[in-house]
Amino acid sequence: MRFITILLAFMSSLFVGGIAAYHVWQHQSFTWDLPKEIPPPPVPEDNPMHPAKVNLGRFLFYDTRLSQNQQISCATCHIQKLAFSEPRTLSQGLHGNLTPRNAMSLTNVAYNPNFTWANPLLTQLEHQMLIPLFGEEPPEMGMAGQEKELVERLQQVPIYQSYFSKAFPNEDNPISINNMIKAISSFQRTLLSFNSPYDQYLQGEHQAISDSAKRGMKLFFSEKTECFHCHGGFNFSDSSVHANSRTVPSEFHNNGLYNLDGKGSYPKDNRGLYTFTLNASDMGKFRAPTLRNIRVTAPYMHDGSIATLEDVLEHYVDGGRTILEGPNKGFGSANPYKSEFVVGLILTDEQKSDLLAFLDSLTDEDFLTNEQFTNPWPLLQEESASH
Amino acid sequence: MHLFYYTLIFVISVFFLTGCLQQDEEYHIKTQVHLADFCRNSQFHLTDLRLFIHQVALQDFSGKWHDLQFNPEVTHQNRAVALLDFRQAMTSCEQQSENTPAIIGSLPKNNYQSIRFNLGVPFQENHADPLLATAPLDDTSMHWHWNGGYKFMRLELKSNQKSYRFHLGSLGCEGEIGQINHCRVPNRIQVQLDQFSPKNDVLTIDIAHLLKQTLSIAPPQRTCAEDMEPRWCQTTLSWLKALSWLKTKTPVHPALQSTKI
Ligand code: HEC
Ligand code: HEC
Repeated sequence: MRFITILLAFMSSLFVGGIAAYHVWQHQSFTWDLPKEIPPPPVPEDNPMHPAKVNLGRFLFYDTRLSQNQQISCATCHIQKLAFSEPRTLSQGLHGNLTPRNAMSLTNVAYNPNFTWANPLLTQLEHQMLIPLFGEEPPEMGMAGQEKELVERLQQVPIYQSYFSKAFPNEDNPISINNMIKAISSFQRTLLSFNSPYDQYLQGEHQAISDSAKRGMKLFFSEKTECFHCHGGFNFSDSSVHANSRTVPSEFHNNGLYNLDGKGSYPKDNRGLYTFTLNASDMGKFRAPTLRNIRVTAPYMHDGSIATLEDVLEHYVDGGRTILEGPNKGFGSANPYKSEFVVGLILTDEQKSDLLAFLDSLTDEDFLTNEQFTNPWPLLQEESASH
Repeated sequence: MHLFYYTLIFVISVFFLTGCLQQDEEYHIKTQVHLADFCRNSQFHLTDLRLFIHQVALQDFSGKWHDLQFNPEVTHQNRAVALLDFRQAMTSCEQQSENTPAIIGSLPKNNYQSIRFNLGVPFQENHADPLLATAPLDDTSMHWHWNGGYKFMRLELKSNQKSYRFHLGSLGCEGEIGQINHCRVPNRIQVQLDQFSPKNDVLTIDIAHLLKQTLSIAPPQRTCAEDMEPRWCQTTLSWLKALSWLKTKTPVHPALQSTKI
C-alpha cells in the first residue's frame, strides 16, 4: 500500500505536494492532557484527534448558526461553568419546546460507552449529535431537513473556509455536515476533568480534601452505601470505556424514582432503556452518570426532578422516592425493577455531610474555567479589532 | 467439434440475454394523494406526507412477479429505496397537483395487472451509518436515529389547535447505530394493489380513508414510538396495515396520465 502511494506520488508532482501537506498535518499530533494513570478515551478510527479539528469544533460548539432560528448553540444547554450542563429542569429547544429530559454534563463525555440518559444505540458522539441538530422529539436546534442551508451558512463564514480546510486537508469540499460533526466530536473528546481536589488527593496531596471528605470517600466506596457499584471507577460511572477497554460495560439501572401503577411504570417519555429494548424489565433503567463536578450540575436525574444534592442523598437513604400526589404518585422504593443496590440507608447527619463533602471534592475548578473550552468567538473579535 | 457447439450455445445465449435486456423499458409510475374527501370532512389539514418504499414488483398476467429496478440517477431514489414526497402535491384540496412523485424504474416489457412494494427502508440501508448516507437517505428530516434508523413515513396534520404527527420506523432495535442486529418491531408494511397497470393507473393514497378512525381520537403529545401505545398510534398503524387507503385510480386529469419512455 505504501509502495503504491510512493509510486503515485512520483507519478504526479501535484500529488507530491498534497501528500507532503498531509504528512505535515499528521505530524501536528494531538496529545491528551491526562494524568499518567488515566487511559485515553476511545476514538473512532475514521475521526482521529487533531488540534485543528478540536479548534474548529470549539467554534462550532459555540455557534448559533447551527440552529434553525440562529439563536441556539450546543453551549446554550451545555454551559461550561456548570460542567457543560444547565440549570433548567428540562431543556428548552427551538420555540421553547421542552425536551423530556435534563441536559447532561459533558464532563469526560468521551469515556461513555453510550450517550444520553438511556439510549443503548448511540455509541458514538458523532451519532448522538444527530439528535440535538436534526431530532424532532422535540426539535432542539431544529435543523431537520435543512442540512443544505446549514452547509451554506457555514460556507459564508470566512474563518470556516480556512478552519475546515486545516482540519480536513486534501478534501475538495471540506465544509460538510459530516466534517462539522467530526470536529465538534473531537472538541467534546477534549472535555476532560481529572484535576479535582479528590484527584490531587490521589496524587499524594493529603491536604487537598478535608477530613470530612475523606470519611465520605470511605462511605461512598463501602458496602454500606453501595454508591460505588454504579458510580465506581475512574470516572465515577460503571458505564465507562477507555482506549484499552476489552469489554464495553453498558450498564443501566433503575434507582427507584417512580412507580406509577405499582407495577414499576415510569412516566411516559421517560421510561429509560425500555423505550429502546421494549423489554418490560428495562423499565426506568438509566445510565449512572459520572459524579465528577456533580455539585454544579443541579438539578439532578434524567428529568431534573431532584433539585439538590442533599435531596439526592435523601432519595438513596429512603431507597427510592415516594410521591404522594399528582399523576406521578407512587412508591418508587417498591418498584419491582429497582436495583438490588438501592435498598435504603441508615446514615447519621454527620455521615450525610461527609458524603456530601466527598461529592464536593469532585468539583474540578480548572475544568469549569479552562480557557481552552470557553467561547472562542469574542476572542476572535477582539483579535481582529486589535489588528 | 465440441468447441463449435459451445460457441454456438454461447452465441445463442448472448443473443437471448441481450434480447431480454433490450426488452426492459423504463416506467414512470405515477402517484397522487387524494385529499378532496379529507378536506371536506375534517378541520385538519395535511402538512406533511412522505414515505420510503422498496422492493417494488409488478405481476404480469401469467401471475409472475417482476422486480422493478429503481433508476438510481434521480435524486429521490437509489438502487434500494425511493422516497415519495407529497408535500408539493398537497397544496390544493380539489385540484390534483402535477408535482407528485413518480416511481421510476425499469421492467421487462410486458402487460401488468398488480403492484406490490414494501413501505419502509430495507434493513441494510436503514441501519447503515447515517453520517455516510447519500440521497435520498441524506434528508435529515427522515432521520430517526434516536431509534437507530429512518422514518419510513411521516404524516403530519394540523388544525387550529392541535397538530398530529405520525412517524413510523423500526422500533426495539438492538446493537448500535451502524451495526444494528435486529429490531423487535420492524414496522415495514407489505403493500399489494391488484388491478393496477403501471402504464395507465395512478397509485393513489386516500387520506380520508387512512385517517378515518384516527381523527376522533385524542392525539398523543409526541410522535408515535416506543410501544406505539397511545390508541391514536395503534389505530393509525392498524389502518395503515389494512391497506384500504391505497387505491388504483385512473386519472381524470390528462397531465396525470402515466408516461412511458
Ligand atoms: C435544547 C438544549 C440542548 C442543545 C441545544 C444541545 N443539547 Fe446536548 N443534551 C441536551 C439534553 C436534554 C441531553 C440529554 C438527552 C437525553 O437523554 O435524551 C443532552 C445530551 C447530550 C450528550 C450526551 C452526554 C452523555 O453523557 O451521554 C451530548 C454528547 C450532547 N448532548 C452534546 C450536544 C452537542 C454537541 C450539541 C450541539 C450540536 C448539543 N448537545 C445541543 C440538551 C441540549
Ligand atoms: C443501582 C445503581 C446505583 C447506585 C447504587 C447509586 N446510584 Fe446514583 N444513580 C444511578 C442512576 C441509574 C442514576 C440516574 C437515574 C435517573 O436519572 O433516572 C443515578 C443518579 C445519581 C445522581 C444524579 C446524577 C445527575 O447527573 O443528575 C447522583 C448525585 C447520584 N446518583 C449519587 C449517588 C450516591 C451518592 C449513591 C450512594 C448513596 C448512589 N448514587 C448510588 C445509579 C445508582
